[in-house]
Amino acid sequence: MNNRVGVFICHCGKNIARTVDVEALRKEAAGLPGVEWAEDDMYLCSDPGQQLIRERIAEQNLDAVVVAACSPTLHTTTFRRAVESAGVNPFRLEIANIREQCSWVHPGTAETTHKAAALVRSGVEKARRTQPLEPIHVGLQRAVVVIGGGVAGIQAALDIAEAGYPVHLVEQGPNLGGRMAQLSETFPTLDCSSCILTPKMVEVSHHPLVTIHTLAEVTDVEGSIGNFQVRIRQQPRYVIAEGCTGCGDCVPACPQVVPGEFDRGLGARKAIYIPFPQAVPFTYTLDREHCLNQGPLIICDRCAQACEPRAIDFDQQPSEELVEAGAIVLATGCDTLPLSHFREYGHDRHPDVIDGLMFERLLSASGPTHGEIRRPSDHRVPKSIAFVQCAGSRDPERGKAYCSQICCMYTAKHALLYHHAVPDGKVYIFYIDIRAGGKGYEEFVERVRAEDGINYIRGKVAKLIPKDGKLEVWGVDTLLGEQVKVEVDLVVLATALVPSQGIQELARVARVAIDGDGFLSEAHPKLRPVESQTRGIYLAGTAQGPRDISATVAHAAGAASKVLGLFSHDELVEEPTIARVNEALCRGCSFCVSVCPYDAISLHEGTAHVNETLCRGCGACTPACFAAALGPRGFEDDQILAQIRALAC
Amino acid sequence: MKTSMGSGSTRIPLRQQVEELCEQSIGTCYQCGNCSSGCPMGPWMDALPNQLIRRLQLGLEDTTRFASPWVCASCFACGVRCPKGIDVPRVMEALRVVGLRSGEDHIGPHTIEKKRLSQLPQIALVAHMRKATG
Amino acid sequence: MTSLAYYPGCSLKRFASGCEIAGLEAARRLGIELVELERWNCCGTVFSMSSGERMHHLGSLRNLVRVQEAGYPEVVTMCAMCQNTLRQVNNEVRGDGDSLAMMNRFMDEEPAYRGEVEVLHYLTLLDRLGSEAIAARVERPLTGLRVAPYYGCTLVRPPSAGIDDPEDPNIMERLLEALGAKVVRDPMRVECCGAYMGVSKPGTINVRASAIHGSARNSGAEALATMCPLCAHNLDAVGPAPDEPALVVFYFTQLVALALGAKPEQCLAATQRVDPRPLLSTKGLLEEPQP
Repeated sequence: MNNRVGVFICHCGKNIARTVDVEALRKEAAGLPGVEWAEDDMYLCSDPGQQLIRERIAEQNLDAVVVAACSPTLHTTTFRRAVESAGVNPFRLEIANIREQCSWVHPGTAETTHKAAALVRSGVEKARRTQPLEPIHVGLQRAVVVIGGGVAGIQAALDIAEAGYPVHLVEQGPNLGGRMAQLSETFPTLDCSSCILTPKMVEVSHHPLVTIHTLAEVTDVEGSIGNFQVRIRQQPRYVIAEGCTGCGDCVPACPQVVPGEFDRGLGARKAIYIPFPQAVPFTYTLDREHCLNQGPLIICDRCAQACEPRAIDFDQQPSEELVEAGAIVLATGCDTLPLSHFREYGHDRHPDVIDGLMFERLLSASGPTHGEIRRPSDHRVPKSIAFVQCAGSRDPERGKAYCSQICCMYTAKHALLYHHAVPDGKVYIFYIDIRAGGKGYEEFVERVRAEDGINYIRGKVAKLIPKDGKLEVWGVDTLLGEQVKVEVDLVVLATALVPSQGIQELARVARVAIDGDGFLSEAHPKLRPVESQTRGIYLAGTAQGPRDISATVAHAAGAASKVLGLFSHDELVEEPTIARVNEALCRGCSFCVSVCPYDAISLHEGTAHVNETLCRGCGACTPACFAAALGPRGFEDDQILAQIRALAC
Repeated sequence: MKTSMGSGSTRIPLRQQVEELCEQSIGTCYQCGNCSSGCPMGPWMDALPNQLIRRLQLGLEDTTRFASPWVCASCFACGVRCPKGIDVPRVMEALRVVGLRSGEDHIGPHTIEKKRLSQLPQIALVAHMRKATG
Repeated sequence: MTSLAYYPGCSLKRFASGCEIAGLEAARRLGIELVELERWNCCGTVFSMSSGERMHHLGSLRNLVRVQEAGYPEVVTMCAMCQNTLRQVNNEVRGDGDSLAMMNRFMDEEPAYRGEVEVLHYLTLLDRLGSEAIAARVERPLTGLRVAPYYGCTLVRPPSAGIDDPEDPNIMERLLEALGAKVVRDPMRVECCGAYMGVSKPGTINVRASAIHGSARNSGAEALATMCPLCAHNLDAVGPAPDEPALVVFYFTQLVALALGAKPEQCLAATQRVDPRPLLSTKGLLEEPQP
């Protein structure tokens, strides 16, 4: 109440002075109670303007300042720095917005100046009552949990570890690699996918700062930016990782044959298996779901008998680990709409209707056909293939409204690789529009069209009819305006990309937002694409939305750089204008807990407790508290009431 | 005193008429052609369903000259498969209604041979009369 | 015995009488009495889809008023087209209070329709009884008879008036299994037979029928089963081109009645162009059921 207040009024060139009588305003301000000094300047935000404020603070021994100028969103930081350097606590600065809220929107009559004066009065009343506040300093755990062991997770983990910080890389499956490991060759360069991914997998697995958790899931996230506690649940592998030499002697011993997930069911594996030859870690996994030993009783131990290093342990149990981390990167990847979604294309009843990822496995040298394109039903080489694009994408009615972004390109690649493998084979690509927006992409499609002469037919396929061991494709050429019916040996659907299973549960646990399609939401679609809406949690790759490999790697590198930016500080400095609980008044009703949008309030021993790093000072808890025990610092009741009174008179 | 009439047409544009009658938004169509791909009567049409919609999108008033709506069997397959949720059978119906309102029937007892007339089940006759006569 | 209101529609009283006779007999054998509505009229045959032609809905609406008057919550239809038209009209007035009020004003000589009647297809009724209950009543299992259900359009489309999934229905397949038949899942089973276009373009029906018969035959079927009089006419009476083989076409109700032990003469329609007896005879299905 006894603060010595200085008022500084900005002309903002003519922006304010055109409609507000600055001299009259200055005179009125000078006469207000508590005001020791009032002065105007052409541009207060300029260096001389700031210098003026600093000098007056010293001369007049001011301990609070009102700047009457533009919106506080523009120059709060500028003026806080100015007053702080002159020895005034930065939270004793008030800004009266006489530009956006007055001079720009009023005609320049006496009432315009009158309103500006009211705004200044209100600011002065607040300034007279301000208390010094100190920023909150929070320690920082310089370690990261990266969830998802595909190329996005691997890239983020490597970038962070290379900068010297420990990383826990958590992968749900038995091995790293993700979707990229399933691919044959990559567009538009036709690089072999595993040839470029394997070195990264090896690098991350050997990095001294990276701890890899495979067959592991994050089941709980506590804490906040800088100090998360992440609970990792480890499923048993039933193979002792340190013992397994990767010799593979267990595999022929196992009597149980199971469709292989890695090959999308096109190939078989045993109940003890390794999904692909370049797998990292190169440790076998015993899939107990398909093992003969369902209960505690061991009725088959042929794998254990065959294992010379005695690495099989039927008694392994799930375990849990609590990891401290300053940041989390979510890189949980994507899935595709299942074939069973497409009832007009026969559900998943026709073996020769497959999806793009299955075709990748058929093309892959380590795939079920060793890279020879053979159709699933009779293992013959298909003499004709129809590719159906936009299967579930751009289909708001029955599928997903969005474009899956990668299908045009991988379909062109599929057609090219098939054409090279089976030169006399016929290819029909049914498409709606070709979207080839990346670097070198249009040129690639052009090559497929013009040089390889692949048949692009513009029109969506309505139905597939199995007929004499072939599939009749009902299409249309909308450019000709004619229906098209072709019989082919194999149909490949470019199925829509969808978020991976379990993303909703993880989003709930980590308290991050997901969008209407189930992808993780970024903080801002343009300007903050790698940050989630929860501070300290970053997004990498297709978990945030469909994208190709190069965009995924860039996204992951962006997430890593955000983490490194966070870790470059010694400690986190948080705004002090956050909620504070008056413990003497709090009755522990927990109503504030339920209204807080940031989950920042919890009840400890019957009293509300505010997590200082989660609270954003929004004030939602203040009106919710029946006991008036809770409110943001720097916005005390007496200050706000005085401001309102000043506006009203 | 002379009254001069405006030279502009007082007719409601065809696209607007169709949209009001079928209660579908023609502009939603992105011309994927799925309606035409699966149309059982496509081989007998002079313009496929997606082409009729394209013509309506462009506001071509002569779209009523095509026989396709009178060949459409109202099987609803196109409506079920439209990714944009356009009830295409309703668009065809609207085109028929516009045609019928001009006063021209597209079928009549006199257009069918007597012998066939006696063999045709009433369900077929009534259905076709309902679709193709005003 | 459960009593339900029953709307036959015009076709079932004329050329599709085989469907009704067998259907009523099968219902009786399942303990269901289908009580024919008094003073029913034509449903309108097809649903008028344009906003300017709502007058055509009056036919259907009057029938729904008859059901309301008789005090039944539901009305059963066998004809696929009638169920479709009645359902679509019912859906339209039920989803839109203004439309209901307007239609009630149109038919001012009738009591106002309250929009509470449910239109139920015969197959849905059987499905509700459940496969097990039906299987338990089977006296003459259709063992070895390879039947391809043919849904056509109006049983499954539009989805709001369909009795099952529009692309991949399963209801006839379920019931056929309960009757002991070998189900043939034919990919053409929801593709249109050409419907009423046979009136003005007779050639179209042969082409469509050829495709449907051919596909079913390729899939291993010996017979088609349908619930639509117009489909039955197109697939059987018109059929594929003369030089192409045609399968036997049954009304689904005929197969139900036969399996439930009805006398063959109650199950076989005089109107069937392709005589089903040789086929049924080879499967031993014309004999008296074993006690």
